Amino acid sequence: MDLQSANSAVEFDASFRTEDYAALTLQMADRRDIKRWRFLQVAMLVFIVPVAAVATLAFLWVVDSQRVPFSDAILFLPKLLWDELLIPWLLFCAFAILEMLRYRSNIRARVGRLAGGVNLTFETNHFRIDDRGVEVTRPYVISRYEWPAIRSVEETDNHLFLRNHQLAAIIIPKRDLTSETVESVKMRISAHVQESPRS
Amino acid sequence: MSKSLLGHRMSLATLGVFATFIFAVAIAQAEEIVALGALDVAVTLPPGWTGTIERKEHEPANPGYNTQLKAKCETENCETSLDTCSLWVFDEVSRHRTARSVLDAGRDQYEFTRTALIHSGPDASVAKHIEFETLGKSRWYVVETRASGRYKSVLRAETIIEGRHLVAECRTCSRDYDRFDASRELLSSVVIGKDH
Repeated sequence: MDLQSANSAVEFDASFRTEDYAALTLQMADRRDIKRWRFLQVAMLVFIVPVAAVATLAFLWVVDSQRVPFSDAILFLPKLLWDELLIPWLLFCAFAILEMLRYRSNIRARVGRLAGGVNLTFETNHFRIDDRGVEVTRPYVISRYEWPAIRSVEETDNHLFLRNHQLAAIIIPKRDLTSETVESVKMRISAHVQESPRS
Repeated sequence: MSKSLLGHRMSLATLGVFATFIFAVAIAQAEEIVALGALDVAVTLPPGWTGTIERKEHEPANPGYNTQLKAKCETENCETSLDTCSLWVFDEVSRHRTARSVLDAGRDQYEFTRTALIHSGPDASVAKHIEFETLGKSRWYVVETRASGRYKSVLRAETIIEGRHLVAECRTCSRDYDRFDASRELLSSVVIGKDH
Protein backbone atom coordinates (compact mmCIF):
# COMPACT_ATOMS: atom_id res chain seq x y z
CA MET A 1 0.00 0.00 0.00
CA ASP A 2 1.24 3.39 -0.80
CA LEU A 3 0.32 6.51 1.17
CA GLN A 4 1.37 10.05 0.58
CA SER A 5 0.82 12.81 3.07
CA ALA A 6 1.17 16.54 2.65
CA ASN A 7 4.28 18.30 1.37
CA SER A 8 6.37 17.86 4.53
CA ALA A 9 6.51 14.08 4.53
CA VAL A 10 5.97 11.03 2.47
CA GLU A 11 4.61 7.84 3.95
CA PHE A 12 4.21 4.43 2.44
CA ASP A 13 4.10 0.75 3.28
CA ALA A 14 6.61 -1.76 1.92
CA SER A 15 6.45 -5.53 2.28
CA PHE A 16 9.59 -7.53 3.07
CA ARG A 17 10.44 -10.90 1.65
CA THR A 18 13.42 -13.22 2.13
CA GLU A 19 15.17 -11.79 -0.90
CA ASP A 20 15.06 -8.30 0.62
CA TYR A 21 17.15 -9.41 3.58
CA ALA A 22 19.74 -10.88 1.22
CA ALA A 23 19.73 -7.71 -0.85
CA LEU A 24 21.96 -5.73 1.51
CA THR A 25 24.60 -8.46 1.64
CA LEU A 26 24.54 -8.70 -2.11
CA GLN A 27 24.76 -4.94 -2.41
CA MET A 28 27.86 -4.96 -0.27
CA ALA A 29 29.28 -7.87 -2.19
CA ASP A 30 28.96 -5.91 -5.40
CA ARG A 31 31.22 -3.12 -4.21
CA ARG A 32 34.36 -2.91 -6.28
CA ASP A 33 36.75 -3.32 -3.36
CA ILE A 34 34.79 -6.34 -2.06
CA LYS A 35 34.76 -7.92 -5.51
CA ARG A 36 38.47 -7.34 -5.85
CA TRP A 37 39.10 -8.89 -2.44
CA ARG A 38 36.95 -11.89 -3.30
CA PHE A 39 38.89 -12.39 -6.51
CA LEU A 40 42.21 -12.13 -4.64
CA GLN A 41 41.00 -14.67 -2.09
CA VAL A 42 40.21 -17.17 -4.82
CA ALA A 43 43.49 -16.45 -6.60
CA MET A 44 45.41 -16.93 -3.37
CA LEU A 45 43.68 -20.23 -2.71
CA VAL A 46 44.30 -21.40 -6.26
CA PHE A 47 47.98 -20.55 -6.19
CA ILE A 48 48.59 -21.56 -2.62
CA VAL A 49 47.74 -25.19 -3.44
CA PRO A 50 50.84 -25.87 -5.57
CA VAL A 51 52.98 -23.85 -3.17
CA ALA A 52 51.71 -25.98 -0.31
CA ALA A 53 52.34 -29.12 -2.35
CA VAL A 54 55.95 -28.13 -2.99
CA ALA A 55 56.40 -27.23 0.67
CA THR A 56 55.01 -30.62 1.69
CA LEU A 57 57.34 -32.43 -0.69
CA ALA A 58 60.26 -30.39 0.59
CA PHE A 59 59.36 -31.27 4.18
CA LEU A 60 59.09 -34.98 3.34
CA TRP A 61 62.47 -34.79 1.62
CA VAL A 62 64.12 -33.07 4.59
CA VAL A 63 62.85 -35.56 7.16
CA ASP A 64 63.91 -38.57 5.05
CA SER A 65 67.18 -39.82 6.54
CA GLN A 66 68.04 -41.61 3.29
CA ARG A 67 66.97 -38.91 0.91
CA VAL A 68 68.15 -38.51 -2.65
CA PRO A 69 70.66 -35.61 -2.95
CA PHE A 70 68.97 -32.29 -3.58
CA SER A 71 70.49 -31.77 -7.02
CA ASP A 72 68.92 -35.07 -8.12
CA ALA A 73 65.73 -34.85 -6.09
CA ILE A 74 64.81 -31.48 -7.63
CA LEU A 75 64.72 -33.14 -11.06
CA PHE A 76 61.75 -35.24 -9.94
CA LEU A 77 59.72 -32.24 -8.80
CA PRO A 78 58.03 -31.33 -12.11
CA LYS A 79 56.98 -34.92 -12.77
CA LEU A 80 55.79 -35.41 -9.20
CA LEU A 81 53.65 -32.27 -9.37
CA TRP A 82 52.33 -33.23 -12.80
CA ASP A 83 51.43 -36.78 -11.73
CA GLU A 84 50.03 -36.10 -8.27
CA LEU A 85 48.81 -32.53 -8.24
CA LEU A 86 47.53 -31.59 -11.67
CA ILE A 87 44.09 -33.15 -11.72
CA PRO A 88 43.19 -32.39 -8.08
CA TRP A 89 44.41 -28.82 -8.55
CA LEU A 90 42.37 -28.33 -11.72
CA LEU A 91 39.30 -29.68 -9.96
CA PHE A 92 39.95 -27.33 -7.05
CA CYS A 93 40.37 -24.38 -9.43
CA ALA A 94 37.11 -25.24 -11.18
CA PHE A 95 35.32 -25.50 -7.84
CA ALA A 96 36.76 -22.21 -6.57
CA ILE A 97 35.82 -20.37 -9.77
CA LEU A 98 32.36 -21.89 -9.73
CA GLU A 99 31.85 -20.79 -6.13
CA MET A 100 33.02 -17.29 -7.02
CA LEU A 101 30.56 -17.13 -9.90
CA ARG A 102 27.76 -18.55 -7.75
CA TYR A 103 28.41 -16.16 -4.89
CA ARG A 104 25.19 -14.23 -5.31
CA SER A 105 22.96 -17.27 -5.69
CA ASN A 106 24.67 -18.88 -2.69
CA ILE A 107 23.83 -15.90 -0.51
CA ARG A 108 20.21 -15.95 -1.64
CA ALA A 109 20.04 -19.67 -0.95
CA ARG A 110 21.56 -19.33 2.53
CA VAL A 111 19.26 -16.52 3.54
CA GLY A 112 16.36 -18.52 2.14
CA ARG A 113 17.34 -21.49 4.26
CA LEU A 114 17.48 -19.28 7.33
CA ALA A 115 13.99 -18.12 6.53
CA GLY A 116 12.70 -21.65 6.16
CA GLY A 117 13.36 -22.06 2.49
CA VAL A 118 10.49 -20.11 1.03
CA ASN A 119 10.22 -16.57 -0.32
CA LEU A 120 7.15 -15.43 1.57
CA THR A 121 6.25 -11.97 2.72
CA PHE A 122 7.59 -11.71 6.26
CA GLU A 123 6.25 -8.44 7.36
CA THR A 124 5.12 -5.06 6.15
CA ASN A 125 7.04 -1.99 7.32
CA HIS A 126 5.59 1.50 7.39
CA PHE A 127 7.97 4.26 6.31
CA ARG A 128 7.69 7.96 7.04
CA ILE A 129 10.25 10.26 5.47
CA ASP A 130 10.16 13.91 6.57
CA ASP A 131 12.49 16.81 7.36
CA ARG A 132 13.73 15.19 10.55
CA GLY A 133 14.65 11.86 9.12
CA VAL A 134 13.33 8.40 8.40
CA GLU A 135 10.95 6.54 10.70
CA VAL A 136 10.37 2.83 10.23
CA THR A 137 7.49 1.15 12.03
CA ARG A 138 7.36 -2.60 12.35
CA PRO A 139 5.19 -4.71 14.66
CA TYR A 140 6.17 -3.62 18.20
CA VAL A 141 9.15 -1.59 16.91
CA ILE A 142 9.54 2.03 15.91
CA SER A 143 12.94 3.08 14.59
CA ARG A 144 13.81 6.70 13.92
CA TYR A 145 16.93 7.69 11.96
CA GLU A 146 17.67 11.40 11.82
CA TRP A 147 19.28 12.70 8.66
CA PRO A 148 22.82 13.14 10.08
CA ALA A 149 22.83 9.36 10.70
CA ILE A 150 22.23 8.61 7.05
CA ARG A 151 25.64 8.61 5.37
CA SER A 152 24.71 7.78 1.80
CA VAL A 153 22.05 6.28 -0.42
CA GLU A 154 22.44 3.52 -2.98
CA GLU A 155 19.88 2.38 -5.49
CA THR A 156 19.39 -0.86 -7.40
CA ASP A 157 16.58 -1.98 -9.67
CA ASN A 158 14.62 -3.35 -6.73
CA HIS A 159 15.82 -1.51 -3.62
CA LEU A 160 16.90 1.72 -2.05
CA PHE A 161 19.57 1.42 0.63
CA LEU A 162 19.93 4.26 3.13
CA ARG A 163 23.31 3.57 4.65
CA ASN A 164 23.61 4.43 8.31
CA HIS A 165 26.73 2.32 8.82
CA GLN A 166 29.40 0.67 6.72
CA LEU A 167 27.72 -2.69 7.35
CA ALA A 168 24.10 -1.64 7.81
CA ALA A 169 21.39 0.22 5.92
CA ILE A 170 17.71 0.94 5.92
CA ILE A 171 16.29 -1.22 3.16
CA ILE A 172 13.35 0.09 1.14
CA PRO A 173 11.99 -2.46 -1.34
CA LYS A 174 10.59 -0.74 -4.43
CA ARG A 175 8.33 -3.64 -5.23
CA ASP A 176 5.16 -2.10 -3.77
CA LEU A 177 5.92 1.53 -4.61
CA THR A 178 4.79 3.51 -7.60
CA SER A 179 7.39 5.30 -9.62
CA GLU A 180 6.04 8.65 -8.34
CA THR A 181 6.54 7.55 -4.77
CA VAL A 182 10.06 6.38 -5.51
CA GLU A 183 10.89 9.73 -7.09
CA SER A 184 9.34 11.59 -4.19
CA VAL A 185 11.41 9.56 -1.73
CA LYS A 186 14.59 10.16 -3.69
CA MET A 187 13.87 13.86 -3.86
CA ARG A 188 13.44 14.16 -0.11
CA ILE A 189 16.54 12.11 0.53
CA SER A 190 18.69 14.12 -1.86
CA ALA A 191 17.69 17.28 0.00
CA HIS A 192 19.26 15.94 3.21
CA VAL A 193 21.96 13.41 2.21
CA GLN A 194 25.06 14.43 0.27
CA GLU A 195 25.70 11.11 -1.49
CA SER A 196 22.34 10.16 -2.92
CA PRO A 197 21.12 8.94 -6.29
CA ARG A 198 19.67 11.67 -8.47
CA SER A 199 16.51 11.26 -10.50
CA MET B 1 110.87 -92.66 -42.26
CA SER B 2 112.11 -89.90 -44.52
CA LYS B 3 112.82 -86.42 -43.21
CA SER B 4 110.04 -84.89 -45.24
CA LEU B 5 107.45 -87.35 -43.97
CA LEU B 6 108.61 -86.86 -40.37
CA GLY B 7 108.52 -83.11 -40.79
CA HIS B 8 105.00 -83.34 -42.30
CA ARG B 9 103.71 -85.42 -39.39
CA MET B 10 105.34 -83.05 -36.89
CA SER B 11 103.60 -80.12 -38.55
CA LEU B 12 100.28 -81.88 -38.41
CA ALA B 13 100.75 -82.72 -34.73
CA THR B 14 101.70 -79.18 -33.92
CA LEU B 15 98.75 -77.93 -35.83
CA GLY B 16 96.47 -80.36 -33.99
CA VAL B 17 97.76 -79.32 -30.59
CA PHE B 18 97.39 -75.70 -31.49
CA ALA B 19 93.87 -76.21 -32.78
CA THR B 20 92.94 -78.08 -29.61
CA PHE B 21 94.35 -75.26 -27.51
CA ILE B 22 92.40 -72.68 -29.48
CA PHE B 23 89.22 -74.75 -29.15
CA ALA B 24 89.76 -75.11 -25.39
CA VAL B 25 90.22 -71.38 -25.05
CA ALA B 26 87.13 -70.76 -27.15
CA ILE B 27 85.07 -73.02 -24.91
CA ALA B 28 86.39 -71.27 -21.81
CA GLN B 29 85.43 -67.88 -23.25
CA ALA B 30 82.06 -68.93 -24.65
CA GLU B 31 78.91 -67.22 -23.58
CA GLU B 32 76.75 -69.28 -21.29
CA ILE B 33 72.98 -69.33 -21.65
CA VAL B 34 71.34 -69.70 -18.28
CA ALA B 35 67.68 -70.57 -17.89
CA LEU B 36 66.36 -69.21 -14.61
CA GLY B 37 63.67 -71.84 -14.39
CA ALA B 38 60.93 -69.32 -13.80
CA LEU B 39 58.41 -68.21 -16.40
CA ASP B 40 60.76 -69.22 -19.26
CA VAL B 41 63.21 -66.42 -18.53
CA ALA B 42 66.75 -67.02 -19.79
CA VAL B 43 69.90 -64.92 -19.79
CA THR B 44 73.16 -65.14 -21.74
CA LEU B 45 76.12 -64.47 -19.51
CA PRO B 46 78.94 -62.43 -21.06
CA PRO B 47 82.29 -64.19 -21.58
CA GLY B 48 84.06 -64.77 -18.32
CA TRP B 49 80.93 -64.52 -16.20
CA THR B 50 79.50 -67.30 -14.07
CA GLY B 51 76.08 -67.55 -12.57
CA THR B 52 74.14 -69.37 -9.90
CA ILE B 53 70.40 -69.51 -9.43
CA GLU B 54 68.73 -69.26 -6.07
CA ARG B 55 65.09 -70.10 -5.67
CA LYS B 56 62.95 -69.60 -2.60
CA GLU B 57 59.74 -71.40 -2.07
CA HIS B 58 56.93 -69.78 -3.96
CA GLU B 59 53.77 -69.17 -1.95
CA PRO B 60 50.83 -68.73 -4.31
CA ALA B 61 49.04 -66.52 -1.79
CA ASN B 62 52.07 -64.29 -1.39
CA PRO B 63 53.99 -64.01 -4.66
CA GLY B 64 57.32 -62.24 -4.73
CA TYR B 65 60.74 -62.14 -6.33
CA ASN B 66 61.68 -65.66 -5.30
CA THR B 67 63.92 -66.53 -8.23
CA GLN B 68 67.31 -64.87 -8.38
CA LEU B 69 70.26 -65.18 -10.73
CA LYS B 70 73.55 -64.18 -9.16
CA ALA B 71 76.16 -63.53 -11.84
CA LYS B 72 79.77 -62.74 -11.20
CA CYS B 73 82.58 -61.62 -13.48
CA GLU B 74 85.63 -63.87 -13.25
CA THR B 75 87.93 -62.24 -15.82
CA GLU B 76 91.26 -60.62 -15.08
CA ASN B 77 89.75 -57.17 -15.53
CA CYS B 78 87.24 -57.93 -12.82
CA GLU B 79 89.88 -58.71 -10.21
CA THR B 80 89.76 -55.09 -9.12
CA SER B 81 86.29 -54.07 -10.26
CA LEU B 82 84.55 -57.15 -8.77
CA ASP B 83 81.56 -56.84 -11.09
CA THR B 84 78.40 -58.67 -10.07
CA CYS B 85 74.83 -58.71 -11.29
CA SER B 86 71.68 -59.97 -9.61
CA LEU B 87 68.50 -60.54 -11.54
CA TRP B 88 65.19 -61.20 -9.82
CA VAL B 89 62.09 -62.61 -11.49
CA PHE B 90 58.63 -62.07 -10.04
CA ASP B 91 56.75 -65.30 -9.45
CA GLU B 92 53.70 -64.48 -11.50
CA VAL B 93 53.01 -63.02 -14.89
CA SER B 94 52.02 -59.40 -14.46
CA ARG B 95 48.87 -57.89 -15.93
CA HIS B 96 51.10 -55.05 -17.14
CA ARG B 97 52.67 -55.84 -20.47
CA THR B 98 55.32 -53.11 -20.61
CA ALA B 99 57.68 -51.41 -18.20
CA ARG B 100 56.12 -47.98 -18.84
CA SER B 101 53.22 -48.76 -16.55
CA VAL B 102 55.50 -49.94 -13.76
CA LEU B 103 57.63 -46.88 -13.17
CA ASP B 104 55.82 -44.14 -15.01
CA ALA B 105 54.79 -42.23 -11.90
CA GLY B 106 57.19 -39.66 -10.51
CA ARG B 107 56.98 -41.03 -6.98
CA ASP B 108 57.86 -44.56 -8.22
CA GLN B 109 60.86 -43.25 -10.11
CA TYR B 110 61.98 -41.30 -7.06
CA GLU B 111 61.68 -44.42 -4.89
CA PHE B 112 63.56 -46.47 -7.50
CA THR B 113 66.43 -43.97 -7.48
CA ARG B 114 66.40 -43.79 -3.72
CA THR B 115 66.73 -47.57 -3.42
CA ALA B 116 69.70 -47.57 -5.78
CA LEU B 117 71.39 -44.86 -3.72
CA ILE B 118 70.76 -46.69 -0.45
CA HIS B 119 72.36 -49.81 -1.94
CA SER B 120 75.37 -47.73 -3.01
CA GLY B 121 76.36 -46.83 0.52
CA PRO B 122 76.59 -43.48 2.26
CA ASP B 123 77.35 -40.30 0.32
CA ALA B 124 76.49 -41.94 -2.99
CA SER B 125 75.21 -39.76 -5.80
CA VAL B 126 73.30 -40.29 -8.99
CA ALA B 127 75.66 -40.75 -11.93
CA LYS B 128 72.93 -41.15 -14.53
CA HIS B 129 69.39 -40.03 -13.87
CA ILE B 130 66.63 -42.58 -14.35
CA GLU B 131 65.91 -43.20 -18.04
CA PHE B 132 63.79 -45.49 -20.11
CA GLU B 133 66.63 -47.22 -21.96
CA THR B 134 66.71 -49.82 -24.74
CA LEU B 135 68.72 -52.89 -23.79
CA GLY B 136 68.60 -55.59 -26.44
CA LYS B 137 65.03 -56.09 -27.58
CA SER B 138 63.50 -54.64 -24.44
CA ARG B 139 63.22 -51.30 -22.73
CA TRP B 140 64.31 -50.97 -19.13
CA TYR B 141 64.14 -48.23 -16.56
CA VAL B 142 67.80 -47.75 -15.61
CA VAL B 143 69.54 -45.61 -13.03
CA GLU B 144 73.26 -45.50 -12.25
CA THR B 145 74.88 -44.35 -9.07
CA ARG B 146 78.38 -43.29 -8.12
CA ALA B 147 79.46 -44.65 -4.76
CA SER B 148 81.99 -42.99 -2.53
CA GLY B 149 84.85 -44.52 -0.64
CA ARG B 150 85.14 -48.29 -0.85
CA TYR B 151 81.50 -48.90 -1.71
CA LYS B 152 80.33 -50.25 -5.04
CA SER B 153 78.45 -48.21 -7.59
CA VAL B 154 75.11 -49.61 -8.61
CA LEU B 155 73.16 -49.96 -11.81
CA ARG B 156 69.55 -50.67 -10.99
CA ALA B 157 67.16 -51.68 -13.73
CA GLU B 158 63.55 -52.79 -13.96
CA THR B 159 61.37 -53.97 -16.81
CA ILE B 160 58.45 -56.10 -17.86
CA ILE B 161 59.01 -58.44 -20.80
CA GLU B 162 55.90 -60.24 -22.00
CA GLY B 163 54.41 -59.91 -18.53
CA ARG B 164 57.57 -61.10 -16.74
CA HIS B 165 58.55 -58.52 -14.13
CA LEU B 166 62.34 -58.35 -13.81
CA VAL B 167 64.50 -56.32 -11.46
CA ALA B 168 68.27 -56.22 -11.80
CA GLU B 169 71.00 -54.72 -9.68
CA CYS B 170 74.59 -54.73 -10.93
CA ARG B 171 77.51 -53.53 -8.85
CA THR B 172 81.09 -52.57 -9.56
CA CYS B 173 84.05 -51.00 -7.84
CA SER B 174 85.16 -49.44 -11.11
CA ARG B 175 84.85 -45.69 -11.57
CA ASP B 176 85.29 -45.79 -15.36
CA TYR B 177 82.73 -44.30 -17.68
CA ASP B 178 82.01 -47.70 -19.28
CA ARG B 179 81.94 -49.60 -16.01
CA PHE B 180 78.46 -51.01 -16.59
CA ASP B 181 78.90 -52.09 -20.22
CA ALA B 182 79.10 -55.77 -19.35
CA SER B 183 76.06 -55.42 -17.10
CA ARG B 184 74.12 -53.84 -19.92
CA GLU B 185 75.24 -56.66 -22.20
CA LEU B 186 73.89 -59.16 -19.72
CA LEU B 187 70.54 -57.38 -19.38
CA SER B 188 70.29 -57.05 -23.16
CA SER B 189 70.41 -60.82 -23.46
CA VAL B 190 67.32 -61.52 -21.37
CA VAL B 191 64.83 -63.50 -23.43
CA ILE B 192 61.56 -65.28 -22.81
CA GLY B 193 60.54 -68.75 -23.94
CA LYS B 194 61.87 -70.38 -27.08
CA ASP B 195 63.96 -67.42 -28.25
CA HIS B 196 67.12 -68.79 -26.65
